[in-house]
Amino acid sequence: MRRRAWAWLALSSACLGALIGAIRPRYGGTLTVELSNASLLRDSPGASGHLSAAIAETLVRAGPRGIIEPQLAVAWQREPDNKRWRFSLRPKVTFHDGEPLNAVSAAPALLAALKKHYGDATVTAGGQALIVQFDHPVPDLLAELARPETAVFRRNETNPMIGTGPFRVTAWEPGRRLTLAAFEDYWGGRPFLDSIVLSLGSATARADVFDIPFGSARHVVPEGTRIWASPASELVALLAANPQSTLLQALSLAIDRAPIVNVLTQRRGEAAFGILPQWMSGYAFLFQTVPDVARAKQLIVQLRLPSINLTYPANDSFARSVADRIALNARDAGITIQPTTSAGGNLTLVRWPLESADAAMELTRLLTLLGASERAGSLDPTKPETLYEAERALLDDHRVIPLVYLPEVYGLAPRVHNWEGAQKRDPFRLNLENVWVDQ
Amino acid sequence: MSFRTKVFLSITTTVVITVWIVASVVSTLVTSSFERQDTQRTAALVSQFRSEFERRSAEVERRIDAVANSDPVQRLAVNLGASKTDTAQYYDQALALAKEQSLNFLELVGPDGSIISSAEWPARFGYKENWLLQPIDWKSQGVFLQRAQLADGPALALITVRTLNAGDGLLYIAGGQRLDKAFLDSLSPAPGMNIRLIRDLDAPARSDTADSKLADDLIQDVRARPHELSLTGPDLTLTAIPLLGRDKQLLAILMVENSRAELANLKTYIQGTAWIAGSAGVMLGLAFSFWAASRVTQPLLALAANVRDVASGKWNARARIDSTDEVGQLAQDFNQMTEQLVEQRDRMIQAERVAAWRELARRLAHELKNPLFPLQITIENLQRARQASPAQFDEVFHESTSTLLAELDNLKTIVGRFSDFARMPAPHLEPVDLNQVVGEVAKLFDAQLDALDRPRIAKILQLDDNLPNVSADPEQIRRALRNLVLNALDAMPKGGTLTLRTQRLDGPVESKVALEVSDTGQGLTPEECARLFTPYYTTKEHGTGLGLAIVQSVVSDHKGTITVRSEPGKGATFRIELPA
Amino acid sequence: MTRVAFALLFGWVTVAIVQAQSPQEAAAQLAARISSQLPRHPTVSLELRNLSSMTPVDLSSFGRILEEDLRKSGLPMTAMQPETRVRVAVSETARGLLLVAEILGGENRTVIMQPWIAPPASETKPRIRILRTPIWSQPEPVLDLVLLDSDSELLVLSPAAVSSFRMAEGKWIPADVAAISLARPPARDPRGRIENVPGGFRVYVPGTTCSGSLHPALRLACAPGNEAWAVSPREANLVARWVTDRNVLESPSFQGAFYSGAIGWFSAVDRRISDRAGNSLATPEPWGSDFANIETSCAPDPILLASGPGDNPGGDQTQAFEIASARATPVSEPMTLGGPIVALWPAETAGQATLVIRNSQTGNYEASRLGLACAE
Repeated sequence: MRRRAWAWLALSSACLGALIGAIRPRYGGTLTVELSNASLLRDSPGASGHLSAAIAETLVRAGPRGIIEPQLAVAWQREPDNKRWRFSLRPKVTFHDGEPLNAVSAAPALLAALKKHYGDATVTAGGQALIVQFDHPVPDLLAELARPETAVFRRNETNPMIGTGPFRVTAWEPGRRLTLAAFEDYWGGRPFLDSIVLSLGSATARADVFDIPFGSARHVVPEGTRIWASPASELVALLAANPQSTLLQALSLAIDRAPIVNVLTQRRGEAAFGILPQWMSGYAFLFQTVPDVARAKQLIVQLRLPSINLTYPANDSFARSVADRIALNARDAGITIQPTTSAGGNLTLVRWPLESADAAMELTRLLTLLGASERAGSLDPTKPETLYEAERALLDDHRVIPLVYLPEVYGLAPRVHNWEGAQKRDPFRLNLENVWVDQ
Repeated sequence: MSFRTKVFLSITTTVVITVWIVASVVSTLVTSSFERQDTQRTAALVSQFRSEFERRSAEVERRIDAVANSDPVQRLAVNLGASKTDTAQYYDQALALAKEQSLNFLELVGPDGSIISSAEWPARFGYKENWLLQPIDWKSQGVFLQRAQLADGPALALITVRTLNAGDGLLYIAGGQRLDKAFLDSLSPAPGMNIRLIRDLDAPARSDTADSKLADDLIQDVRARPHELSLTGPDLTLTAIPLLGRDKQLLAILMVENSRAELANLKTYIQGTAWIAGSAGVMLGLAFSFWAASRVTQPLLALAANVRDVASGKWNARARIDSTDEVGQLAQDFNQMTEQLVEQRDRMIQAERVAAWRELARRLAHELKNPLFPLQITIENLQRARQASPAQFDEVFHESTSTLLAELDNLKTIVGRFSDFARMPAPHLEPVDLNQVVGEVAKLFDAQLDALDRPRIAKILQLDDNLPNVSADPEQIRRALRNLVLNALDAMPKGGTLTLRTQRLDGPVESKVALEVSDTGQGLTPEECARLFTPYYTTKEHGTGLGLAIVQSVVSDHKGTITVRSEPGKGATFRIELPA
Repeated sequence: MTRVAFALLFGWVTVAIVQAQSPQEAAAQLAARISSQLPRHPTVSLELRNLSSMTPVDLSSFGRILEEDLRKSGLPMTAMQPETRVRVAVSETARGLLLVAEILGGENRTVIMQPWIAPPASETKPRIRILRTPIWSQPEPVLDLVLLDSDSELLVLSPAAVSSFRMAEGKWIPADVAAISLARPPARDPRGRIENVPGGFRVYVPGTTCSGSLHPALRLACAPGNEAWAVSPREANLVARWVTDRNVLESPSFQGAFYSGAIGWFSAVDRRISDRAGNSLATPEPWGSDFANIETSCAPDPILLASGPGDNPGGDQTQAFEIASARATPVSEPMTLGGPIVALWPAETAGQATLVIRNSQTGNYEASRLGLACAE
């Protein structure tokens, strides 16, 4: 479970309620969560924002359809020039220590977060209203304020993160264990669980919830375990350091994604032909191709093939398996690829987490990552064709070869309820406040 | 060749030959012993290899059977049969099973030949292993060698296959262990042995060293006809054992290298020792020869020197050898001999001197008698004439005084000759062209040679054009040459041929000039030759007998030598050699 | 506050109504865009492909409409060797459906995309004797509803408000909204009850009890506390009150907390269905947490309508059971629902129950009335 997963510990609005099943949820109990990635617990709860979503909340949040929804802010207005924004804070919200949420208490954390991205940001507090001002237009401020890094929280000598979220920190051992307790006075309704214990686990999978990273041995799970997979939330792709269009086109034709999906992801992943997954863009199927090794061989017959190193992340057995498979496919086409963990390879296997359900926002972010931010200017969220054309242009360069989309996969003990329903609300956040357990 | 040299050579030769023979024999024995040992060691190693091979094969079979009987594989077979299983979930099963059973290779292959799981190359799932689909009883095939494909290249493996029923088809479990360096390390080659497993038979030949060329040649031979083969090179012996696969195809070659370094070292050691022994023998021989020489040769050489002294005329040479052995005895005998020789020589000299005085007296008497008799007659005539016929006395006086004066002149001449011989002067040396002298002297005698009152004598001049000048007194040389020519003419009363010859003699140290006067007269006997140069000795009925003595004296004064070569009836050749 | 809540609610509703397009509208728009790309009107074939959650029936229907629209726009439709192929995929994103049309003619390829917010898919009509009549649907949770004045007025209870509607031309028209002054934040898994009382209505939510009236205007007066109320209008002896901040009830008639109770049976928090004495039904886990008794002439004994057993976040069911001798016997086919049951209460009208589900596809809360009809 990557850091992004910790951005998934978010709150849900009581207005939208809990998604429940035929059996009503039961209050009480402790949910144990085992994670395979210690880096998530290593962060200070407030340092990176990854853990803040369960503990501290943002002014707004991105809903399941990518639409910005109110959270700590119930209303907002913006000036036409997008330089001045006014947010009305939700009333009757308190921090975990009982301090009421108002503009004065919210402003410092908000300003600190905004300053990291916008050096010219100023925040003015007045009652329940926050005025955010910039020297330059910031039309996508709402998207920024939906990110966990902009959560509103306070700190004191004993508690590094005092938020307004459904859970409060009761104990924290950096890199080892985090214990959360239900915040009884949470404005969105007290969570079902009494407490959550998150710890760095082993492969034994004894906790109520444990992540099953791809490539780990954890795919063999205890009997009775339910497996839950999120929608595709990570793109695994090949990035070329130097565009060699013909060679990369040949490589692209040689790669057979089906075995990677069927075997290496145990059919939990999904073949990726475009940058954005089908569920996000709706048009990813247009990029679909079939492997054509004969054509790949034809393309390279006149080429003097260089030695190709494929760099994959060290300590990532899934990436290693994918890299080996890519090398095997390439070999069938007469291209020799050597997987390595050393940096500086001609090709790099990357794993990019997707962060938003908004296709335009996500594509802009990925284009920027790929160094093609100039193409983001043509994106119009209301016109999916513009997104399609931008992706098409990027893929035609063959500088990036999408391979597979991966979901987050968790094993759930039988006593865990409403996990699946709770996660439907937001594909990029784990909503633990609506989860309940047998006792 | 000196005695020391002979002794040295004989000792040295004996030692060297002995050492060489011993060394060769030892070297040959050692070589054959080593080669025998190499063969035995190689055979032992091959036997060990085969035993290990069999042991590993049994182990592979046991472990693959364990894999086939394991729960996960049994479950897989059942599920495959029920056609309801997703084989993807077994993708990493082989790796876990392989680790459990310590196998390097393990593949679970479905009924259609597709790899379900591969331990050695996990990424190969889905690829086909069509060789498994052959309709054969895999269990009866036992364990066999196979070339296996890995991500980093081919490898050689001991493989066995088991099958499980999976519905209408079979689940194949193929696995084994790698035949690699670790396998070879389990063998225990003796020191000096090395084992290599050559898997890449198509690798280009490396002929940069003799050993690598040898190996390449061996590999090529074995590839052409797979059989066990050995080749011996300068530094090692290679034995190649072909490793065949299931279909008897050559998969690899087990190369056993026996280093000949030890043998080479030993041979070098033997040679070195032989050289040392030989050298010691030579030194010993040298030392012994010196010792022997000092004990034997030195006295003998000293003795030889004494003999040479005696030969050169020092008859009073004494051998100073104090040993009491044979050499000492020889020296004593030598000394005794020289004493006797000296005594004999002295007696002989005395006798020759007496003989020479007698000869001289005889000659003198003979010479003087002739002129003296007429003198006597004349004086008697005078006496008679005074007494008889005083008138005829004046006439008789004048006639007789003329005769007396003539005979007195004759006496003076004879005395003058003797006086000349006794009072020959030292030569005035100057560069003289002998050819010119010879020509002048020959011209002097032209008239005599062509005289009508005697048989004709031909004159032949054979003068060497490259004759160097000699340092000589030209007058004395002429005189000596005139004497020789006169003698030659006198030796040919009935005519003949007078040959005057000059010759350049280039010797190792100095050049000489030879002057020969040859006649075709009656020749000389050896005794005459021996006494020829004795003063007053002559074979002629008249003459003083000083001519050749004068010649010898002149030659001796010019530090030359004169010899005579003659046989009766064949003329004589007088040869003068003078230093150039 | 009331106005804000109303605006929010109305805004949601309005947005929901404006963005949705009927299949005809979507097809017409798409056909026009396709036709504009083919001014020469070549012969065209249409291929349809479903990459969404649309049902095959709906897809087929949409395809027929689209083809007709293309024909009307002047494009000759043919299946045999067309000059141009039009491939339309009904795809889907998080925001809704996406129509993707590929126009393939020779070497040319044009792609047209059109977002489509489709109305809720039609549900499979039950074939059982449970009759379901949809009443109201909204994005906000519906905890309960009550029909008044001969079903001409509707009060809908949400976690933080009561909304009133008037029936006009077959549709419920929003009339008013009254916010509930909650003493405590709404409980997660919000539950509540609204009951019609003479002169008005009462609202019971965990931690707050309200009294309200509809005329002349909707008014609501709330006070902290959990008053007791009759679980069923026709079972006055079974009273219960909410537990503050929770989703359970407590009653003198039962030991411990429970989710639902009727005719002497209670669904406890340990998922057993028990009676007052704590005896469980012989049938283990026959149903879920929610049940309500419903009167019917089709059976002599009271019938319970209950939610399905187990976790069914994607969909739920309701089924009628008869209880005799501590054994629950299903007396109807299960009615499959398009989402989990959020509320199941006896209605104010005998022989009816109020059912609220959350549609798994749309996320809307759909309130219905259930009745029983005897099987033929």
